[in-house]
Amino acid sequence: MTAILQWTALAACVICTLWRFPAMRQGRNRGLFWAFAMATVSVALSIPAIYVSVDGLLGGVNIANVILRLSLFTVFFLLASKVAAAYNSPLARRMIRGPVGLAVLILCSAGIWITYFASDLHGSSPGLTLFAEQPSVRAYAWFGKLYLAYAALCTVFPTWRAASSGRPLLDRAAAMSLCAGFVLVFAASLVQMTPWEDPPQLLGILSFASILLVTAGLAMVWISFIRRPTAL
Amino acid sequence: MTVPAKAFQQWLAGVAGTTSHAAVCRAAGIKRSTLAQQLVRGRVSVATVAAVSRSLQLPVVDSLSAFAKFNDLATGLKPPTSAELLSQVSDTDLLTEILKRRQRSDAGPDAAVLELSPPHHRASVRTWLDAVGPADLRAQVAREVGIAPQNLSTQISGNRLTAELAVASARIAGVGLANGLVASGFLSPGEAGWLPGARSVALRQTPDSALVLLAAERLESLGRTLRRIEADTDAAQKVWENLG
Repeated sequence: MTAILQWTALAACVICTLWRFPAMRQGRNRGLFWAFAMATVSVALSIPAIYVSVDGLLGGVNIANVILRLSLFTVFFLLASKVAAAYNSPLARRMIRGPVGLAVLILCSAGIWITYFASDLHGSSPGLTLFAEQPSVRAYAWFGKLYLAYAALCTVFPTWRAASSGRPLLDRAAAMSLCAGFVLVFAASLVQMTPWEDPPQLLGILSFASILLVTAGLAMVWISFIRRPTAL
Repeated sequence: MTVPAKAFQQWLAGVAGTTSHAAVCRAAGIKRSTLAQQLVRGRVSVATVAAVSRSLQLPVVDSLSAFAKFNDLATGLKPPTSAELLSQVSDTDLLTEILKRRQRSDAGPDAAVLELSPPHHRASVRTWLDAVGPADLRAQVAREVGIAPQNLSTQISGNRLTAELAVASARIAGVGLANGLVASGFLSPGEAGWLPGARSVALRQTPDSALVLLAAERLESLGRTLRRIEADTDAAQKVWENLG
């Protein structure tokens, strides 16, 4: 079941990336193309079969997991700054692209590298489950979630404001869907960062629902974009 | 805006006799299923009453007066004030009249009388409320009918006003009870007892100064509306630019 969901998500990401390609060539919204390209990398590397073979090529020291984390950071950095600009929130945009946002991004990326080198990670293991008892691996996972939680939180407020404004229904539904998706990303990251016994069922549902909601929100934006009044 | 289904059935039996619902609907141009649904829910819309009434050549005002909510409507008809008449002249017609008068004073008389567009213009609800009301008319109406002031505002900015609100506003403002129904486009001026050409006469009799000041008010509120629309468009544009 999980495998089917993952392969479906991968196919969706590949399709979106290919679909954004012509727009990227014309120089329109390059950020979105790269966000989808990075999302494709992240989803692909979260599938164990792909992870093991890629990591094997890279020396079998789980460097693929670092690539996975950093590409997720890129996805969130690009998507969050686009959403902040789209919903006209200079504050959220500063919190992502400004000094504070970049500091958090650099801190988390540095944390990933430091904890990676501090751990003993010989032998490919998807999700680093074989090494979960090492404290540095736990810190590594914590850094991986910290940035996602931060970026998601920054986008919750502008999307919420747009959803409760007097915009047309479709635009408000799109903003609402994005907002709910980012709330769930935040919640999922928070659950994983706490030392509680992780309920795996809950996590799976949260992550998958958040992907669905964000995708649905973007789809609604595109529908609204296609139906936009052309002559103005 | 609805009347009870039971009252509607009684009224229909009184005016249409034994004519079947299907025939009534066909004549009135409403869907059979729409009426059936309204009857099942127990609430028939006033638009249905008006459509049936028109198809039977009955005065809509008299028909509505058969229902408890509107029982004083027919007796409460009053000719519109000149402010009300002017409020139902569109911005374009108002400005055209001003221009025509300027041209006449510059280039001599010109016999052509301005043909007015229909009374339910783009902001006719707001202009009518402004024309009849004391300053706190909206607040009083919302309190009287028991709806939230922002719901009333939404209707006004959408140039809509339910029949109940229109009649309540007219009652509070002390004008003819059906006049608000003309502003909301529910009734034609004739159906509310307005004389044909009354708006043209009122427009012609308004002195230049009053006309220009009225036009200035209209342009100011049009400017506000346009600014809001532009801000909304900009916001949508921004979303499309960044995520589209």
